[in-house]
Amino acid sequence: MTHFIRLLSVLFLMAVPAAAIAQQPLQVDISRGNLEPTPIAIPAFIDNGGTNDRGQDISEVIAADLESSGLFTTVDQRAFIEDVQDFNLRPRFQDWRVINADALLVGQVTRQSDGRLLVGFRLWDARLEEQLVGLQFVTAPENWRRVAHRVADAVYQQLTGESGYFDTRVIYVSESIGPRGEPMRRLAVMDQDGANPSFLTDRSYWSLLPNYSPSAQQITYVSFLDGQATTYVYDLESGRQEALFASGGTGLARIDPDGQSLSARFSPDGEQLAVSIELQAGHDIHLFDLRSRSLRRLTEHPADDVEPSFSPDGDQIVFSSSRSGGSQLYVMDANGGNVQRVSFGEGRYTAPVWSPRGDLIVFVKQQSGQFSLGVVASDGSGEERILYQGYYVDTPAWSPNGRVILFTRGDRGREGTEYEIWGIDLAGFNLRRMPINGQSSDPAWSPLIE
Amino acid sequence: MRTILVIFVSLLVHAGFIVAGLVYFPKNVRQFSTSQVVPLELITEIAEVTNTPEEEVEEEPVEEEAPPPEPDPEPEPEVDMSAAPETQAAPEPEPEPEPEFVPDPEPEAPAQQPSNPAPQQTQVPQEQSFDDMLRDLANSVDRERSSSSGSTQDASSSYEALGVTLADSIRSQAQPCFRSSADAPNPERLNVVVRVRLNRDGSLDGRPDILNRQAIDVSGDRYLRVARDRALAAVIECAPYRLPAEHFSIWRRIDVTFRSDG
Repeated sequence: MTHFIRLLSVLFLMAVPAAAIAQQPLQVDISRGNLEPTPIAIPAFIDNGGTNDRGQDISEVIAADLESSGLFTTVDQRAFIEDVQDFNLRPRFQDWRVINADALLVGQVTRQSDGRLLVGFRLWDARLEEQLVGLQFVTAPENWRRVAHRVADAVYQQLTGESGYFDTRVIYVSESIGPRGEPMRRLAVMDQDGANPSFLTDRSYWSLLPNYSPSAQQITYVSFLDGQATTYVYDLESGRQEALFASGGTGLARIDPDGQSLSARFSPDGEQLAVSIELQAGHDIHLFDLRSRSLRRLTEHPADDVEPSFSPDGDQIVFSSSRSGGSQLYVMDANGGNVQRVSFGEGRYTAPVWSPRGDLIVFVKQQSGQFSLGVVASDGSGEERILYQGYYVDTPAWSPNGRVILFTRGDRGREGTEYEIWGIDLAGFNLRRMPINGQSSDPAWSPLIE
Repeated sequence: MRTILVIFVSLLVHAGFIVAGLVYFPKNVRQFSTSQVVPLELITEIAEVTNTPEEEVEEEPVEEEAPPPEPDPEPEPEVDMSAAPETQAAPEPEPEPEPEFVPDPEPEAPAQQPSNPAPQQTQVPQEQSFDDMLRDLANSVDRERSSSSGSTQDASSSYEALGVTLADSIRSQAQPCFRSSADAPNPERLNVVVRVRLNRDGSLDGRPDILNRQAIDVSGDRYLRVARDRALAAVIECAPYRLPAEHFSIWRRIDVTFRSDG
């Protein structure tokens, strides 16, 4: 009997560790996923009549938006198996998985009795078999493109975690030749996908270097009216313009011939402008208070401090300066203290702009006859990352979510350098030309339109 | 005194048999958990076939305060339709998620485990050497098990080695379906742990669970939410998994940690 008990005890003790191992879930670690674009199926939005076939139009705009980001591919509509006829039924997910659609966007357009459009959509995950988001919008019929952009933004945000940037506009300088052969530079505005372009300023004077206010209601730009560079604040809704400070004006001596130094950028609260002005010797960074109309000097250095840009929290300002010889990038507190250098490479660093995410600063670097577009950590840590190199690069501008950068790209043409606006994403992929007729430069990307 | 001893021994023996049963007869245990899952699917089906009142979309959009002078009229503030429709195309009852769809049927490797009909995703030469390795390990474990002189220590270390090999196999099978969030800001924080329960044929036994779901929900971090969906979609999409049936007890439950900092 005792032997039997001993035997059982030994057996039991042996069984326990093995059993414990077997009962623990097996641990698996996966850290190398793919970064392929997400395949999404976008059938034409169901048209409930009287909408002038807007269903197909809307789905096409959404598809173009998502594809332009480089993060999505759309599945060819001809491959679709299920013909979604009822917006409110669960799709047959198997039919969508079979054609490799990870996500499915179904929507419908209805003309309401008041004449406006009701646009609704549901985004489905075909693998999880779940609705991820569903929203509807009401709008004037002529405003259907904006609704499409809003839907694309919602899809983008749901599937990437980032805010979208499709319901935004881009202001830029349209460059052309006047009737007497004179170069003309006018401000123009368009949707981020190139639709609805229109001019903001007339051809009688040059307009350059626009920058958006955080509310997207105002811009600053530099004009050369009567041969004198002046910074303007332009209210986009009312069309009202106001001159702030001019070269050769009250106490303001000289500025760069291209007006670069008078290019003013808004603080994130929209109440101040950061601008570089030459008062005595050399350019210095100033803050201009839009309410009190007062100018406060932030830097005092014999070298030129130019091109200021606020951090998204408004606590810091990045600028370029020749205080160490060649032009390099510096970050300081918004009161002018604690100046730290953040670029250390060879060449001239110019045109810094702080990312809306806050962690990066984009810049233009000029070295041995070549221009580069790059980013560097805003705290100066880590290596700089070059995204694009070319014949000429200038005036970078961030998308409101900090994922894409627009910039002026110059290439040798038949009649000298030709300028166009191009976009590239933060990873250095998806280099794309903005769909603008003629030459263009100086892009400014609006915040998301509320 | 004698009664207490008998009760103690009885308890010990019972516990021993239960534990041994869990180790040696895992199939029975699995069947039990499978039968728990089936009603869940039925519940979904019942809900789908039921013609619930129209659907829960809020149909009363907020009216626009149409500002006439504005050149660019605003679209309405969106109305949340987050409630998924429960109505289902009534006429044809959908065949329930039969075999999982496998994206690209790659050329099959010589079938080493006839009990596993699933298409495999890894490359042939690697797979063969992997299978050899697996067989060796399995043999060694079996030897340990059957030999009365084999110590518990050795058995557990072989188990560990076998676990590592199985984990490698699962990783290589699930990885292709995982869309990384490495391009998000600070991707090192985007870890998601998925508890996967498998059937003996490598198919999913019920919907996998997110073990850190609560932390993800509380964080309100959109990137983390996306990482969660991507992790869940990966284990679902790449199923069924091709794994040796004789070691089912080891891979019956798997905790997969998805990282985006790789």
